[in-house]
Amino acid sequence: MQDKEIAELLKLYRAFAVTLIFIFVISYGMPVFAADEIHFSNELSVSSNNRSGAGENASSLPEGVYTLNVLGINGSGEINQYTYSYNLGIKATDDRTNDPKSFSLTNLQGKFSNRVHTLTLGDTFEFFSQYSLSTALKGASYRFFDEAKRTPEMTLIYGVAYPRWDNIWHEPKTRSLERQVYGGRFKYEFASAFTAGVSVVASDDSKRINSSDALIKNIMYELDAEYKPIPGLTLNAEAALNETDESPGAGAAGSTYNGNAVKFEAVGDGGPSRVSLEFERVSPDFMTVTGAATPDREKFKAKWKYKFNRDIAITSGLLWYRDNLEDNKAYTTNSYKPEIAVAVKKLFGRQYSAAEITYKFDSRDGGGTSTSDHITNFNYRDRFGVFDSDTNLGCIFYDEEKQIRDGQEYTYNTSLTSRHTAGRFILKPSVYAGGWTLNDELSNSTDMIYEYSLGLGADIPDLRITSNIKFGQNKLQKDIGDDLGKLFGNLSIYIRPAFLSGLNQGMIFLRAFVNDFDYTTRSRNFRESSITAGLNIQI
Amino acid sequence: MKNIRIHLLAAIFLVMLFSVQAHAKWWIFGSSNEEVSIGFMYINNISYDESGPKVLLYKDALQDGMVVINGKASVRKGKIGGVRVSVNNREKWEDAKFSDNGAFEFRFSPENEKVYILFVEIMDTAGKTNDVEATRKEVTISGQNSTANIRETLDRMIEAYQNEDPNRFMSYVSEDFAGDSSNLDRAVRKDFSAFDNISIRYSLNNIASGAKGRVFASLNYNRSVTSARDSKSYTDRGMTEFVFQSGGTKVYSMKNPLIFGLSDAANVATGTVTGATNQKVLVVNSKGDSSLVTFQEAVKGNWGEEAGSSEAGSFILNSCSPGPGCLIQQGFIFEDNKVVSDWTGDINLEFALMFLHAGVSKLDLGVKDIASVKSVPGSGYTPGSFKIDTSIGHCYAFKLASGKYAVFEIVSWTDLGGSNSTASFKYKYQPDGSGNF
Repeated sequence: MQDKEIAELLKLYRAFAVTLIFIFVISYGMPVFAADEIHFSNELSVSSNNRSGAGENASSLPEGVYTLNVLGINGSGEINQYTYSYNLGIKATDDRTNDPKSFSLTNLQGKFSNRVHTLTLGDTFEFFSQYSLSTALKGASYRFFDEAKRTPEMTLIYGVAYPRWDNIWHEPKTRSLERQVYGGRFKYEFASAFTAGVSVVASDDSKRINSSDALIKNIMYELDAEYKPIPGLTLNAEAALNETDESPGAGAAGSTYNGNAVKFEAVGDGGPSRVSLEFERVSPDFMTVTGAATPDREKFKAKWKYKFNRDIAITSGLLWYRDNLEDNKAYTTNSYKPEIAVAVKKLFGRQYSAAEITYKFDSRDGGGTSTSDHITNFNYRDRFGVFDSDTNLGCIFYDEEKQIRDGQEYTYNTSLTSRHTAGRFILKPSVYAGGWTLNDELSNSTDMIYEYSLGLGADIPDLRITSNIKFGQNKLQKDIGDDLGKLFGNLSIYIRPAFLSGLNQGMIFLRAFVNDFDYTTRSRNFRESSITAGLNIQI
Repeated sequence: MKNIRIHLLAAIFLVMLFSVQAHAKWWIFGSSNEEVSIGFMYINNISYDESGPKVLLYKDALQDGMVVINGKASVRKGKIGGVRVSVNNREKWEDAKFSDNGAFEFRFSPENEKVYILFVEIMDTAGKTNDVEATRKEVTISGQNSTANIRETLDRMIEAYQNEDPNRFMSYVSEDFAGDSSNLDRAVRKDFSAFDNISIRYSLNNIASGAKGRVFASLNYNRSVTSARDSKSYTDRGMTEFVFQSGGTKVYSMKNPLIFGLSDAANVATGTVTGATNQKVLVVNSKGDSSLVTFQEAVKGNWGEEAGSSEAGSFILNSCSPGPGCLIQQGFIFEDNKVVSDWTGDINLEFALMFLHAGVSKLDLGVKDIASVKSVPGSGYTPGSFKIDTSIGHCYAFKLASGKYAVFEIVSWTDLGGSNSTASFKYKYQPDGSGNF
């Protein structure tokens, strides 16, 4: 064994030891304060993967035997007038395709509250608004809100927007740009129908990983309001401004810019209808690194759901947006996406029938190019004797003026499932058959995919066993290029044995699959298979 | 024309908003035939109708640990006389708060791992009730944290995506989806046209629960697909992030790199993960062709699109201090591939300074080979001159007065003495107006 591997193992054991001590402290330390509850869950699984054939490198499955253990601990309780809750998640694996680290902390959070003051430590997810803050931080937040006295709600937050905990200690294998975030929110219910809030969120990036990583220093000022003039009608508005300093890459000159975004939304929910209207305008220089927005966009969205009666419902919608708001691009692109769907239950008086037909149009034009895609789908579900059926028919017409894409695509599939009780067994056979055809008018070629599969689910309720097996074939036939035939099979068995009943929902499971890919060019052929056995316990 | 469309849409929107004053129930296009009915009802902000007969709620995702049922009832004649709720299969009924306009609310503090059978009864003053049986709902409270819920939602989404079932996939997407659910719907349908044999495995890196049932999730994924266009297998892996609503049952937002909706990544993703390495990720262009590109190229977008071919070449500019024998300070017009000497160039050299023509702005891309510049940003450009003697090896992107883009690399600059200089450049110019080269 090489020094590097030994060091890795020692690191893994050390991390396990620290975790065990932490668990011990939490398990036995916290309940000292009160008669509280604590839950453990642990899933241990071992996978054996195999791949073979000349084209085996096309498989995403790593060859060999791998272990994965996911541990979760969460608890809650009371200390004096404060309630507390905490949760901890730990993942350990030697499968580098699963995680670059052998051992990692997946979540760590503690929360203390007396219903007026709330302190959150660790994984902190305060959702201020769409534009200002809608991402989680590793840090802390404090919230003050006395619902009984109808006080203003005030939230302060500080943290680092890392995707993983090991980014905190700068683990080389999972390096991340450092994005410090701090901010506050003030929200007040001025009247029972009117609430307004203001947020300020600042972020500061440092420690780029790649020389071309952009570093952004951003301050976001945000104002939002909600007004309910009458029951069932809600009006929302949000406006935000940003001040941004951006360094686009190492050695590159930085730039400073400001942008803004506004959004209005009206939602009417009453009787058989639900209507929503939305208008949004996001300037080209609007930048949010902790929220969500698409810059340089003006958008209008409408949706109407109408329940005609218990059995008929109509849904229609329109989405339109454009860019080039400040005429600084060579051309403007407009996108139109209207759609309508009609769903009917108990068609032809059949109790279990349900049909839905949808039509969606997807159009974009700008810069001398325009696309018009028509998407139609029909779905029908029904029960025929002992069989439940589900059938889909769909077609898409692609049309692009610049002859980039022009063709028709058809999908067609149906499945039949059934359920039978035979003594202590419940059997659930299923059959699926479907296909896909693409007529490409530009290359004057037709490609087809066929798939069929058979499945059988078998449950033994008194032994708490559920299982399923499925196998089938998928064939891709191309006019131009390699054909592909794929044989596949998968199996899953879940058992909740009596000897694990003391562990709440203890479960043993076995999952396996095999895929065999057969190309026209034989050097691309390969087979991959995997079998996973595991134990899941919850206390 | 575009302004007319914008104004028309804005006018429709405003008219609909202000019509609230004119007719308070403008959004109701029909009414129920029942004597007593429920207009809408929510259980912890999840639509009662759309949540199905069974609901699983996670204790740690409950606001203040409470289950909240609220809605609005209406009666054909008279007034609402009472609203009551049973949480134990009609063994016991408890009164809910209600107001004259039919709005009602009921709260209870549930216990972990317990199943509640709910019924809601609305009664008018004449004693008529709603269809109570239709309000039956089985609510299970799980003591597990949100991790289990997120895993279940992701498993179901991946299963629907692998089975290429767009309707089932979209049932896990919030109507408030930040990238617009219509965009995601069309993007996954195009994914299904582009891919076959989709296989996605994932492993959670981080979970964080927030207020009102929102949950943040970061995950590693491994993906393999067969391209329906070229029948090749593509595999990639990376790290991505999601925000879920409704206790983790509906996706609110997704970041680049995407695992769903790759066919329209520019509109579906709202944000980019900070921890991504520059490994290759799978992308799909508007034709449906798949390819693997570096993560940074993927985020910039428009890779592999059918951009018009760009023009490229090199040029030399000389600058002499005005005086006998030399009156030139040369410039370059990208569109015409032409060196000029009358200060009409898009860029104009004066010794070590490069001056920009009115309407032209620049962006320093740092030290790089111009061959590696496949696209340039759409924003961040500034006007004004810049020094080139200290920027040899740098690439600069230019947004020209015509709105088109050009990029050059400063290959050399030489001080010839007497305030005379010469400089050589490589350049690319994109006449189709896009930032792709």
